[in-house]
Amino acid sequence: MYALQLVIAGLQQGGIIALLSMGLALMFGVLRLVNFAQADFMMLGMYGVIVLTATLHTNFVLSSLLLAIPAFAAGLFVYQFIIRQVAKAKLASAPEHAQLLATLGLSLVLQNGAEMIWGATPRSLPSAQELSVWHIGKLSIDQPRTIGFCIAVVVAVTMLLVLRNTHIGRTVRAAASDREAAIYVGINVRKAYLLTFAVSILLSVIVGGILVSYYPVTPQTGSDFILLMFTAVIMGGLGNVMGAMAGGLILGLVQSLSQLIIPLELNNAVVFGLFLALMLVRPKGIFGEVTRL
Amino acid sequence: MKSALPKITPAMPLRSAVIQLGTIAVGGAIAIVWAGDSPTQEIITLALLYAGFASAWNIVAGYAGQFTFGHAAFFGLGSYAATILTEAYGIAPLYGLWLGVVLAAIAAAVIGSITLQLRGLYFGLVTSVFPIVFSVVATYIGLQEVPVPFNPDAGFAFFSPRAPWVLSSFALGSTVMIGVVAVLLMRSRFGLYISALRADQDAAEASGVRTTEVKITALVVSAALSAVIGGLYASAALVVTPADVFGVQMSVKPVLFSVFGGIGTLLGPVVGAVILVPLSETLTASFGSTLPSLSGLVYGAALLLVITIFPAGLVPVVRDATLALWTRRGGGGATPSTPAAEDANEEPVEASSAPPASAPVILDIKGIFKAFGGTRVLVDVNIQMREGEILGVIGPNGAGKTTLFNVINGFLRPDAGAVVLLGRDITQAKPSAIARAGLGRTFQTARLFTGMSAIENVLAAALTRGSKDAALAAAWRALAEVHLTDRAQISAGALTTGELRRLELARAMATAGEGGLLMLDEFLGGLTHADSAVLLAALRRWRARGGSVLAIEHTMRAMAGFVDRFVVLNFGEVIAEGPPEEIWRNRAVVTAYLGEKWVA
Repeated sequence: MYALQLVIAGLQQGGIIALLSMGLALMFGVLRLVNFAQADFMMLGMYGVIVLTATLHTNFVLSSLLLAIPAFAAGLFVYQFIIRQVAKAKLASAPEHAQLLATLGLSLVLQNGAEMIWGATPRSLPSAQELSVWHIGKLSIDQPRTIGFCIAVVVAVTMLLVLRNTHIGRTVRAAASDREAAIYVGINVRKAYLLTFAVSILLSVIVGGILVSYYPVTPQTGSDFILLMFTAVIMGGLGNVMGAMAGGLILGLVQSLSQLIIPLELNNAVVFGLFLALMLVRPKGIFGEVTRL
Repeated sequence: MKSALPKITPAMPLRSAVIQLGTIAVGGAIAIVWAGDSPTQEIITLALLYAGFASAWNIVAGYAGQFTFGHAAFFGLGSYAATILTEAYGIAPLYGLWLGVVLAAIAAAVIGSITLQLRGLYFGLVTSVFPIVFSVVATYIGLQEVPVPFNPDAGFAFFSPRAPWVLSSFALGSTVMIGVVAVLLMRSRFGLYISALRADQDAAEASGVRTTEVKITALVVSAALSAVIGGLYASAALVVTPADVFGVQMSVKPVLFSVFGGIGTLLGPVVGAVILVPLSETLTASFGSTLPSLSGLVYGAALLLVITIFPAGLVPVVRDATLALWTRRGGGGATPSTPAAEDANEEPVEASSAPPASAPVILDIKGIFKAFGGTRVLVDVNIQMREGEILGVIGPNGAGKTTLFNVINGFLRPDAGAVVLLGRDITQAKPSAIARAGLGRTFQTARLFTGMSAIENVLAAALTRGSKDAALAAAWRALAEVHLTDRAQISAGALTTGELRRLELARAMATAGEGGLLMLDEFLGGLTHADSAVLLAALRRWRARGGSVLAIEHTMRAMAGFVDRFVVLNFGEVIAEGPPEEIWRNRAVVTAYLGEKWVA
């Protein structure tokens, strides 16, 4: 019974990591960009929801929806004024690292900026303190985590459907699979990049909205998640959105179930051990490094 | 005859290196004396420590091009080793930190070996995980907070706490020492290998450079030096915590300072640290009580600014600006060397003749199979080459020609079959070992070591074959063979397409060594008549001296007057083999190229 409880907890946690990782994978698949600041946007989303909920006296779902607009705008801004500028002026010694370094700088600015505004003490939604669980037999199921998981599933499925079935989705996929060819057939690759970046930031912020309903936030919350995200993305194969989703779920389960045999304090070490083992055995991920959107 | 060789301008001229390191030493000493016992001395210590840490990181990331985002792992080992030995056994940190150096070197060797096959972003991502693992483990075994034992009257080896200038002097000494190590490294033969690795790992490997060894060595040196700094840092911080010494911020700092000052330069990492650390420390001292995260914000903003505005870093930008100013004034600008017109061995070679059937076999390809997924790319390929032969491999697009080359030179392992070069089975050997066995190759699109001069490109390959003097002679000879003597000092990035192709042939010749085998992948494509003539003449002389050539082309026409024999590949199978005039009339060949209806 305890194991089943852990499976459920693992899936709930995994769903969040999965959604976060999908944004990262999408960005890598299309823009070939590893974004170190991805999880920091989630952190901003968490603070944003706390502020909105308090000022508008509303719930976290509505605040998350409201936050979507500024999140998208922030994504557009960062792409246009930082990422694209860096792409133009390449770092002499290692061009593929210039954009990554830029996102590293951005991550430092966001984390320390948040600390300046909100301080280092953890904050949470007032509602997050109430313990609310459903009881099914001997299982107790955490309500906010379950609701969060359901929202994550809905968002993930929506994103996949948009990518598969809409014109704009096909544009993005074309730009991802072959930049040159996409340009030649008249696809506005720059627009596709811009859009992808903004959507993927938007995803992070939404995840933040879900997460804050039960998880306290500090300026460093992003750092706690970024390596989990990298692990999930690499597990699924860099740039493989579906793979990242699977990787996130697997990671959540591993994290949760490892408690059965390994002390909780070493939980992170287990995850990173898994990450290393994976890099050695299958550096291209379980599902292979193909840009599959 | 040695003296006849022109001098090479090394990538890191001794005089300039001495001036730069001397400036750091003198400048640092002045600052230390000036600060005396004031609190400023602590800031100077920190700035110098980070300058050293960044310089150490720069060796593996800047010079060798292997970006790590986890150097805190090595730094922290130094901090912990020095502090724990002092706390538990009373060993002075000056001696204790060497345990950290040894541990860091071992850790780097292990990390280097398990991340061997990873490149670029993957390598960076994976290295970033190690300090986190170390941090988790350190916390778990109860090392959350190890204070540095404080005894104000402790002696020199404890960095005399009453005289803060002692610690900052050690910091300065270490930073200069790291600079000296970097200079010695880059001026050795290893320096050329490191630069080649950074420019193009595959091409370096194919030129005989043992890239995995070079990579691990660079990482180990860099890690050991980082641990020295980590050990000193503990005495400055007075307490060692995993969140600090193994923290993400600690891994980011050397990256930030190096990028800000100029990555891959000697002075850059030091300049970056010396500007940013005091700036951030002063701001924190003034506003830190109200805005505790200011220093992180300053670092992040500095990184963003430098990457978007001058990604090469401060030092290269200033240097280029002063150089531009200098040359505009007409003062002492570098005058281009006058082209040395003579080129060696220009006696015409008579139309080449095929080697006798009795000549020994140089390359024996036996029953090679290779498939990618479900696609069979090479099917039972058997080819024998005799010493002194010029063999052309032709076939339509997708026939498996380049795959065959990659199997021969070790980039790919065949699924079945064997390759024997000069009597040695090389089927399982690494590309660098195969190159050293006497095989040089070119690529379909030329892959040179950009950022290195033409002569350095060739020299890096020649050095893998023997002593420095012999390598220098061989490199100059190879350059003369392709008429590039007067372009020797020019950076490979500034050469024309034709010159690049010629340089790549020179490098392949230097790789293979006299009497070796050259593999050329579509080397005539898109070349002017003059460039082709230079290449073909050089290859004829190569053969006249006992060398062999295996060349891939799409079409027979380009090579018809040049090769002794053709092998025709189609869908991975050898469909014909023989002298040009025979192949020309071969029914199967015409069908493969033009389709059934053209067969006369």
